[in-house]
Amino acid sequence: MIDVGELGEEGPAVIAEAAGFLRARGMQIIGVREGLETLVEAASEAGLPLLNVGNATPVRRQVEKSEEKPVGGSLVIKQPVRSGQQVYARGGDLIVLSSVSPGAEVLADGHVHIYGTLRGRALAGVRGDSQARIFCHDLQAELLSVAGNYQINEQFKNIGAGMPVQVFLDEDTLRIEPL
Amino acid sequence: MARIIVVTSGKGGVGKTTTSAAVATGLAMAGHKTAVIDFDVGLRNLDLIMGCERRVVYDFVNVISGEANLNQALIKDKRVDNLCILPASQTRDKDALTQEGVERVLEELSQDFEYIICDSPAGIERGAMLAAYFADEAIVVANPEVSSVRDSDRVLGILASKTRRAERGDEPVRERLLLARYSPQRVERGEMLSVEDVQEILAVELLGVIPESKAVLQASNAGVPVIMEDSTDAGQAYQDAVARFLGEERPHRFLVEKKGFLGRLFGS
Ligand SMILES: Nc1ncnc2c1ncn2[C@@H]1O[C@H](COP(=O)(O)OP(=O)(O)OP(=O)(O)O)[C@@H](O)[C@H]1O
Ligand SMILES: [Mg+2]
Repeated sequence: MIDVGELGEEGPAVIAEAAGFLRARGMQIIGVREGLETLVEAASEAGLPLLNVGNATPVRRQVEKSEEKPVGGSLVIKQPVRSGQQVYARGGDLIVLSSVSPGAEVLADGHVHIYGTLRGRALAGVRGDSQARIFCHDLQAELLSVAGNYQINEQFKNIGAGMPVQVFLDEDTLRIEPL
Repeated sequence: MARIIVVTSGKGGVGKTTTSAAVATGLAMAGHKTAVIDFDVGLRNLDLIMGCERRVVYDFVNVISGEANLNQALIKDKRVDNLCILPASQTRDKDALTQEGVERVLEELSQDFEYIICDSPAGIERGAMLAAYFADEAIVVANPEVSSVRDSDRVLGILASKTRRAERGDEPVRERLLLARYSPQRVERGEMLSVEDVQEILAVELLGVIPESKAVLQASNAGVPVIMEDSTDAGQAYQDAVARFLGEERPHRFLVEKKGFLGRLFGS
């Protein structure tokens, strides 16, 4: 865990460099928690997910796919979300009609609904909404996060595989329950 | 206007060049005027598999840089009418390919050919991006193993977002999967992913399954595209794939364990 909260002016450059450095050495970067807006932005540009960003203003994330505008607060994705792609429903829910591949990442300020298999990462309530939930038809995720509270696959492993589940926050604990 | 087809995979050594040669030859044998371009600048080997390496004078990079015109560089196949090969350069590096240059060559080829097959290099760097950028259709080649499937998934994402069709908001690139080096025995032993596993993960139309076969290496050593070896399993699997490509419906063969000697002798 590297604390970037104290980084000042040079923070953005440091984050980008650090991300590259760690990745080049095969380390998995889970995300960035806390930080000034500029830091958060830099982290986002370096492709790091945001966890627990608190009051920081949401930032545009780089997506490898141009998406339609959210309708009525939710973004509907009809295609599979592939490895290397990132989809963010800013200010609303995300609905994925197909599957989310390993190495893909789906994020929403609100809920995340996945009607296929979730094999990548899903982050709900990325701006801190602890009421946000993740729903999916088959849970084989690499990482789950609600409002910055995350678990990696090692922690939940086979729970939820092959059946519809929901993931939500109970106090500060992430819970996975069958639907 | 020609249809531009990229043969791509992400991961290296999965069978892209073998497939490019087979599909191009198959389309030409079906009567379609076809050109196949080697985008693997610096590591050319399409010409070897097509058996025309001794006839290379000018290459793709020479045409792009204006050192030769297209007709000087295109090699007419000796066995099959309607088929031409545009070899890669062995001596230049990938930076020699420019988007404008590639576009110009594809446009010029489009006047004369029905299909243009682009044999992509491995990876997702410049050469691979350029091979895919102008594509109307993609044949994504994968082997039945996790890392190859993961890379194919990544490439499918790129096809959906980084191609000219995607950027213009045109109808998306048509994507089809070719599963190569499939070994039913190894699938049965749990050492390889099954067709079903792969399709589950990639959720993309299946163009064909090519069995792991000694015939592939033998054919490429002989400089004959394996699709011309009618009696081989891989040759027949590629023939089926080309027929499907052209809209015919054919059942998938070679998905179950090979028959023994007697089984083969008595056919079926
Ligand atoms: N169906 C098959 N059965 C057995 N061997 C195969 C099969 N397909 C390809 N090969 C072998 O795999 C090797 C790589 O094939 P090929 O050159 O077509 O792959 P490629 O994807 O073009 O590689 P690169 O990424 O280096 O361009 C060759 O030695 C080839 O003979
Ligand atoms: Mg090749």
